[in-house]
Amino acid sequence: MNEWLGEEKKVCIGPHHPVTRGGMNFIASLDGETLRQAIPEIGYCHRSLEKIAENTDYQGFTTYASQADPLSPYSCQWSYVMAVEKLAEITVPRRAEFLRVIAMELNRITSHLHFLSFMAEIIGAKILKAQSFKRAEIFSHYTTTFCGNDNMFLQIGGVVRDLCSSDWETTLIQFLDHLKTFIDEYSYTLKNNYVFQRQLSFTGVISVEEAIQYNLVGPNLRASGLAWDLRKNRPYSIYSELNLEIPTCQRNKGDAHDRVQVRIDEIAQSASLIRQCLEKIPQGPIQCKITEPIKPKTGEIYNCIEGVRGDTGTYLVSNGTTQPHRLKLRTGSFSSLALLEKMGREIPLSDYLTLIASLDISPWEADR
Amino acid sequence: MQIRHIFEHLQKDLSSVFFELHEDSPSHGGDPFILVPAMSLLPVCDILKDMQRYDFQCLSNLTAVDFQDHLRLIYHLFSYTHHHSLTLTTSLLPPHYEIDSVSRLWPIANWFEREVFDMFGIQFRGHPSLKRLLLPQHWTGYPLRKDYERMAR
Amino acid sequence: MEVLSSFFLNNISPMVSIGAQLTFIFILIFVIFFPLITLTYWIEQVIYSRFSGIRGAGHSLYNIIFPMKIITKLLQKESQTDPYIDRPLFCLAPYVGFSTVVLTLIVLPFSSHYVLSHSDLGVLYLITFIFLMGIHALMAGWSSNSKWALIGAVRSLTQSLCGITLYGLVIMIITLQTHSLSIQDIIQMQGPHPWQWLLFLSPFTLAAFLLSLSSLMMIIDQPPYGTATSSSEIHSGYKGHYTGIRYFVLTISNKGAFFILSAMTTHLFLGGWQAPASWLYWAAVFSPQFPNIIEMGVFLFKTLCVVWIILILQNTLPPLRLDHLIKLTWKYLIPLGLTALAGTAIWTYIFPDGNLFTQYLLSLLLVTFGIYFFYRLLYHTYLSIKPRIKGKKA
Repeated sequence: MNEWLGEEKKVCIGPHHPVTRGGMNFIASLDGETLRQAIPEIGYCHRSLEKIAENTDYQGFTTYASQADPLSPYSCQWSYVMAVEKLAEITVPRRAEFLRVIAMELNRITSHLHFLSFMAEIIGAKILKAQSFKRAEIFSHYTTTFCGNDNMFLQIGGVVRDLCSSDWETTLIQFLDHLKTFIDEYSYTLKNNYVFQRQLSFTGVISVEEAIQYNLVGPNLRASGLAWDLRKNRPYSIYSELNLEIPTCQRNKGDAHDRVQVRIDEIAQSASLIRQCLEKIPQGPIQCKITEPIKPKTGEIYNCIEGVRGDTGTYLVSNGTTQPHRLKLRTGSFSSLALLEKMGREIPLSDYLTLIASLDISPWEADR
Repeated sequence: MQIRHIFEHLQKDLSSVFFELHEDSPSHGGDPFILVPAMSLLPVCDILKDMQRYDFQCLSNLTAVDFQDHLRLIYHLFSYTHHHSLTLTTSLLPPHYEIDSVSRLWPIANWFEREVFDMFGIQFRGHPSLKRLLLPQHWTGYPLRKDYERMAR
Repeated sequence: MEVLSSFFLNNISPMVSIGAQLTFIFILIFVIFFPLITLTYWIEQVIYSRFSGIRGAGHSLYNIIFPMKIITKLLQKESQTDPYIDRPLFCLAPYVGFSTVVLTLIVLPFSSHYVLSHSDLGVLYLITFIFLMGIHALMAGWSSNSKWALIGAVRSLTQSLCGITLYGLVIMIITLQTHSLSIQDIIQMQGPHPWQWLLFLSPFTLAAFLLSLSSLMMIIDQPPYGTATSSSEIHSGYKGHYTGIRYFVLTISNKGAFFILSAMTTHLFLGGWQAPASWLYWAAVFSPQFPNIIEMGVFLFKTLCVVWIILILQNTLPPLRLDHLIKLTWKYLIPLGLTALAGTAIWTYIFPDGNLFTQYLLSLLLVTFGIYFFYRLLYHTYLSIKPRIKGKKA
């Protein structure tokens, strides 16, 4: 035990620590309650999806792409599917595009609700955690009734399943109304509760320059103060037809509080997008005719969409055969983790845990 | 700025370097990209990052592709001020897969380069700590190369 | 019942036989301690499940046996000991914690006659054991031979130190007011009615009451003031390596400390077992034991009210971080306690027999606050966040 009496202790935050969500490790040097250094270690969830892609055909990899992140299956899947469609010059029916947007936004709400409950758990507010998790569960239920099994919804050239029934739509809209009151209460608590303020404000401040250098994307980048959203700035699919405002936090401090607030605003934003889609959705086919097997022409493409954790990129190289020559998935969690290596210096342990939680890292997505 | 304009400006700014622009053709689809020699990658990146005209503050992606006879490194750059993007590529010929690290310019390249080293075995000169990232440290071989022996088949 | 009441009615003489001593320990643990733990545990479950909106163990009255279920479950589990621990210390720690809690029951009065020992130094005895409540955490954390457990133990000790210092101040304020260290004396100086309680004697004792609630939550490590055993941050702190019956013993000692500290708060501030004289008069008509039972009922009711209030606070507020907690205690709460101490001294000098007007005013204020609190509680549990969902279940 004598080695513990030295100045610094080496402890591992993870891989089975609640803050890591089950698949990362931070090798930390602790001096009392202060963290001298923390080095992230990843690879616990590595499933070599990129190697698998080189051994399957294009249509076959869609299910694998959704497994890149179980919490937001459609981010990577849509990014991949859209890259293949661009390269193979397949046009998707309009109704399918609307359905994709609905699925994506439902998924965004579910994932952000999970984040809110996760954040509350790390702070220690167990009732808030239970309440958010309850809503997330109900929302997963809606997504499952619509999309069926998570990893099979999007396909090259369209989607698998149409909207279920008008009953489903009305209950969904009722629940979106309810969700509005819930997130209002959550953000009221966030703004007015003293303990929340003490724990979240000025914790893990990330400046805009730092965020850009470390390639932070999505809600984390917007919380730092840069209003950048691919849905608005480089509209793909049907997002140009929808009324969309980029949710950024007014405080612009780039701390944990802002990152929670931005996600709360995004939930409201996604709810409004779902309503607009349900209003505007046209009739028509949900799947275009494609010739099996898909053979895109030789070339390479880099395609980005606004996923749940920021822009999710797919770099695809085709050599004219039925199998991809090379596929690379670029995700937001990877760059957040790279930033954590720099941030973990001379910071209280609790602050560091709050910082990790507030970046909404999913280890599966970072490891692929 | 379109990639063609970037290409023209780059040719003026760095006249000693030989740039190549690859664009769409009926047989070859996808994004256009600029190919630079591996020797002059770092000066080109320097200019792209620091000159106000380009101002690529962000390296959004860095990866490599194995084309059997050579490896190709791909840098996806992006500028939040000008809202333009650029695909910069460079080829590495066997047997010496070695190139200058750009982690001095873009800190995120630190991890991207570690991942590329992990998967392709490319050595980055001047990298602060070139260790395996996703795979265990004792792993042998570079899995994403085409000549990697696949165990599970 | 006769045996039990004879135990309650007489002091334990040091010359009793071994058998009687064993019976005494048995009664102490199984007849007095466990039912109280069960009640506390059940209330905790009820409040948690109601607040979080999930169907928990507190959903029906039937689940009052929930703690018994947990005992049965944990008894069947293996009490694991890892090879690298300090085994004797590791196995001893939970029982040290348990005994510090159970032994305080000796001086804790349940009614005017139901008390195991009429000690003149009851308060001193009690505070000694409250001081010892941090020891088992350090034993457990050190012997687990794990860094997280050690961090948890040090945190736990720091936190109980804050709480105990505050509690000592509170006791000083009370003894200054009552000139006695006997718990029964302190209770008998108060009356059955709210304006006769020590709580409303002066503004300074009211402050002391709030301080005692804070220190209580620090000592038992409950959320508004506790992160020493938070599972999301440091893997449950010193409890992290315990399994089976040892884990259960650690848990129930925590719950027991919760009950005993609440009971102490009741005795010191809320008039303890004092019931109106007319109730006792009518009760005595039926049986000589009845007044004692009425008094015990009053005492338990008040204690469970304190438990309930603390659980509501615990479930609504997120916990303070440890450094914030230390700052709050040493910078604000302890100076406040010292001020209250000085204030009480002055108050007793000016009003040796108490000021009836202040007592009425303060109790009226509390009633107003209580009504508002109930209104907000009802608003938040039934009107505001009740989900209005009519979806089909999958």
